[in-house]
Amino acid sequence: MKERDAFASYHPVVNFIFFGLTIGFTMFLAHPCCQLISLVCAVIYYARLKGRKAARLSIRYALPTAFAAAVINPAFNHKGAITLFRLPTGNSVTLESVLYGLSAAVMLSAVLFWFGCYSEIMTSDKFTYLFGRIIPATSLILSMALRFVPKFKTQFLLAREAREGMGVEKSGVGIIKRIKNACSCFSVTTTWALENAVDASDSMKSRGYGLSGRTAFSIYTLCDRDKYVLCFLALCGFYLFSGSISGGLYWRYFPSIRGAAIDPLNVSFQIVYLGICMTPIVVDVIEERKWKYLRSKI
Amino acid sequence: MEILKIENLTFYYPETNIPVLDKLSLSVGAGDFFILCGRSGCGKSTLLRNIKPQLKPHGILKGNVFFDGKPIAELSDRDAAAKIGFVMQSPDDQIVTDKVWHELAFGLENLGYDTPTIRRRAAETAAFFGLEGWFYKNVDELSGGQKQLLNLASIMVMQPELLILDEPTSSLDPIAAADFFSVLTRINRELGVTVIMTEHRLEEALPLATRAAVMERGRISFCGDAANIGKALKANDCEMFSSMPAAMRIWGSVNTNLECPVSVSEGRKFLSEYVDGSENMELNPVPQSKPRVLGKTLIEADDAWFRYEKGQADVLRGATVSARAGEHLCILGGNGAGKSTTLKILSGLYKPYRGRVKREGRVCLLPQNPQTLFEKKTVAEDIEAAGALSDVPKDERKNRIQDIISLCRLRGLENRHPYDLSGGEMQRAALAKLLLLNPDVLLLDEPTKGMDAVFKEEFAGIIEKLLDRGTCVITVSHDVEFCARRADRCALFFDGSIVSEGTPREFFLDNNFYTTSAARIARGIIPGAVVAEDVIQAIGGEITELVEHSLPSGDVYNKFADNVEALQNEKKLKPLPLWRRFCGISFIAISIYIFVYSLKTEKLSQMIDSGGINDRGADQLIIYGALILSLIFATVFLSRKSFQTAFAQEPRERRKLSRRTAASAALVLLAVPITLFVGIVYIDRKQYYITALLILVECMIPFFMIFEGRRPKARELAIVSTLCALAIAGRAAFFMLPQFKPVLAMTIISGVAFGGETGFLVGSVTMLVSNILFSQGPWTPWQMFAMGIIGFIAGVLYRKGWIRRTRTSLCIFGIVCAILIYGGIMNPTSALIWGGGSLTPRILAAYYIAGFPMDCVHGASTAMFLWFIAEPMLEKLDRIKVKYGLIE
Repeated sequence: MKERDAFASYHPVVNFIFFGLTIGFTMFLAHPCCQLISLVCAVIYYARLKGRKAARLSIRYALPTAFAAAVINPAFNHKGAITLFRLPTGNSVTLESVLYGLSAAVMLSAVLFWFGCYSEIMTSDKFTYLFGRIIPATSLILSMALRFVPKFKTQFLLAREAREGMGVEKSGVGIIKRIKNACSCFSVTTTWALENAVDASDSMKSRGYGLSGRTAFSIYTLCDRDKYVLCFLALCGFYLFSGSISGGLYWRYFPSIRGAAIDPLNVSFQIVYLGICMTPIVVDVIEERKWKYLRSKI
Repeated sequence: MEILKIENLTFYYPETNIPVLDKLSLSVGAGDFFILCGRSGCGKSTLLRNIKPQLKPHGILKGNVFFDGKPIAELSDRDAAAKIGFVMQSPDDQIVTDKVWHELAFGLENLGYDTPTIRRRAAETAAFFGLEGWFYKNVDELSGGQKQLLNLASIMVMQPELLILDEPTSSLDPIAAADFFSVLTRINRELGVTVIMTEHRLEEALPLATRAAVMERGRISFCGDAANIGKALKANDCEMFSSMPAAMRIWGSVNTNLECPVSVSEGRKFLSEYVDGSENMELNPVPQSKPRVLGKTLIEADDAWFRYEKGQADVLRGATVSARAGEHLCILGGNGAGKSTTLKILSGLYKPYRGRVKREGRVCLLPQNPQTLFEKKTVAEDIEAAGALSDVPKDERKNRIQDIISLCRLRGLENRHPYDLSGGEMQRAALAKLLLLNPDVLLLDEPTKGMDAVFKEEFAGIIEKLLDRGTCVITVSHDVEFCARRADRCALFFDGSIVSEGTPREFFLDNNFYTTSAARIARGIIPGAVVAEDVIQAIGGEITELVEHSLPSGDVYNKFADNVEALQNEKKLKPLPLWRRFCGISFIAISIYIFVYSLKTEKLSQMIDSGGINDRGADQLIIYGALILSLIFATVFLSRKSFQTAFAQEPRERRKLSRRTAASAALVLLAVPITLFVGIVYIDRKQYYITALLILVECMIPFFMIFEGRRPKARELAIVSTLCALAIAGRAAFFMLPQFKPVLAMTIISGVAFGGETGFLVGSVTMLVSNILFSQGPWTPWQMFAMGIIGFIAGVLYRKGWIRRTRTSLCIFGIVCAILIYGGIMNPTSALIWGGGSLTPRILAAYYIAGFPMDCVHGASTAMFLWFIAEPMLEKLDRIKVKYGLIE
């Protein structure tokens, strides 16, 4: 597993726009080539972030859902020109619907893997930073809730220990009693949490919360490399968007499979898409190389 | 120059006629390190809070407070926030955000500084306080001492002129407290900031003070530098004298013209001068305490080895501890030496992986924080709740409870809420709860933390009585004075085992650093003296007795009890007419029958085939419809309109639509049709998901914007985030059971207690944050919307009084919400996500049927959670509303 990913050290805006673009295009573009690009990049990046083992495990989990998505479609959808075989009920299973199901499965897995990467990269503080200016109160709630969760967990465990310390048996009691025990621990925690929340609000007030003109501080600065990547993403995104509007990435399954012709212009769209999806991996590899190179010079 | 001047300040809490502050006058010079001493409940905190405008308590105030020559009421909000800093007692509860850097920046953000300024100030503050190492950490990774230091730093970053601290070290151990004091001294000496502090650790704090004052019953009785305070206290034979540092007490017990000492070194100087100076001074022998008669060994750990996790280092390395009936064993030692772990091993909470633990009779552990034991709303009820665990027969329990209440000196406090007690009283209430279990061995973890001298003495008195009854007591403590005075045997814990052990006298005389201040003062001058009383007797002085606390009469909190009572009276209503009850119950029975029937007879695989759902499936849909209908009927019959009560209803706030609200409403009205149009005309028909998602997000925007637009108060934010965090923690606790989560129940409760808007926020933020913490996917916005809308509906229905707030109605409402709304939104969502865009009514129906069993589980679990927690939760929330003044 990697200690820290280079792309994660970029400005949150860069991270967020990257994921917005990739996840959006993954859901939007039906072209099988695009979908494959997206899936492959997502899996590679996921593996880089979480380690190969975790990736293998996730693939194992993703397969059944993808399979379900692939199977459900031909079972329900009987459009299409080429009939493969007929079901006992008399409905036909068509090649188009099978392929369409497959494409849905690929799209779904790609989205899930991208979201897996997103959770790794877009940590809570980046999220609160991004929304701190638009929705300051809500993002403060987010930050406070994130602070309270581990606090309450500890308190719940303490309450349980306190109960056990009173001589309540730990194991070997009936399920009802255990639920009741858990409920009274929860009750203890709730009282504690609510009663002490006033301190937090007092502390907020005494530090001037509620004055007009609140600003949002962040530890992030938009530096040159962020700007380059941002420009790159913006240009690529615009190019791809125009491409898809003009039909350069067109693909349909029904009634018969048709796609945009393979010409240099259309291939360029695919390459640009690959460029977008590969951004974090490329950034990562370049920084790693640079690091090794600098080390070797010492 | 004076920075703070208080003239004739009188303060009454609402609906009380005894003033907490009584014509109090005080002035504090710029640059002073001012310590305010006084017993618990003398009005210190009230005074301090009246100096900080943002924290001014509700009540009637007369008199004047001047800050920097200006009346404090004329101070602008901005100045009041920045120039007067306030640090509270609990390190944990004052921290607002989740990151150290954010906490430091929080105050400056409120003041509206730009990023470069905040960065510079945060940097220099972090450097001054030595926080650089943990700048990027999460706050929950910090220790208690570090947290309190962070609280201090995040006040100091605002560059206050006056720093107020209300017992800042009461929950810290002595080492962390000493660190804190040294930083405080630096702030005072190097930065020239005026410091006003209340503190129980006078032994360490008083020598730091340039000026001090003693407060009694709402008045300042003496004011001056520490030595003069000592003189005045002695001259007036004041009861606070017993709480003063040992050096001062020794000095006060004899007649002398020598200067009053404050610190240990001054005390040593005084003592040697006094002993050498007086002619024919003959030292009395130090009194020897007579050993108690001990019974048999009740508890014993023999060569216990323990670690918390497999790969970690050992916490206990061959600890050997034993104690006998009627014996008081005190275990001392540094942080992380394994003292608390030893108690847990002895109590049986953990098992050692090597070595044996033998126990005889019942062993009870009093946890460090007594608040972890309180579950009921009054002290008496709370003690009684422990009765279910004890083997005392029911009819004897009443007498026993009365017994314990008088033993623990809780009389007059029985009907208080445990959280309305002061620290010392709380500790006694928790002890009382344990005593109902009739323990043979009592294990106490830091029982004297945060107690003032009188409370300590009272607590020790109770322990003494228990020892006489033959109870074995083992105390783990940092409180050297308490152990020296009260233990039969002391043991020093180091590196996972006991390194030295003996009677307090042997133990503390052998130690050089880890000993009482009296022993340090008397070392080499009076052989064998350990506590201040030893020294006093040796030099022939007079021992002052501690006067016990009298119980406060008319108190602030009684009105909470009254309000809660009013609520309970309101609950007792005429029962529903028989026919309605009959109908309601029969509909519940029908729903249960249908549910069981449908589970039994139908298999999913038979209902869905290649053509979506078949006829049997369609029948099944009708059955499900019948189930939902019968549930709705049951709700109609069993619920009724609510009375308009203060709790159930809040007057509609008259507020103008803010610009943000108006803009967001317009946005939605415009955006939704446009999105629909664009989605249908331009985007491929198959991309339903994107269109639907956009509409959904647009529907959520106004909720958040309205919330933002009215600039919610700090208390509201604190409560909403607390509720969210509780729900998230609940979701995490049940992660292994699909759909068996308390989130929906918590959302409904929040809506019922605080209204639709709060319900929406709690529901949606809970789903958002828990997805951030666990795993996010394309379903996040849908879950947010579904949960939010349920909270909103619950709020509207219950707050408007359309449905009565009863257990049954809440449970049924929970089931209906889970199946109809949550399932109703999430099932088509899965159709959208998994189906890859092809959406027909048949596919939708198939997803509904496939999702139905899970929805039923969700509904049933929600009903169960509501059944168990709704009532106590609502009770607690109602109390909070009164206590925080959320309803006027």
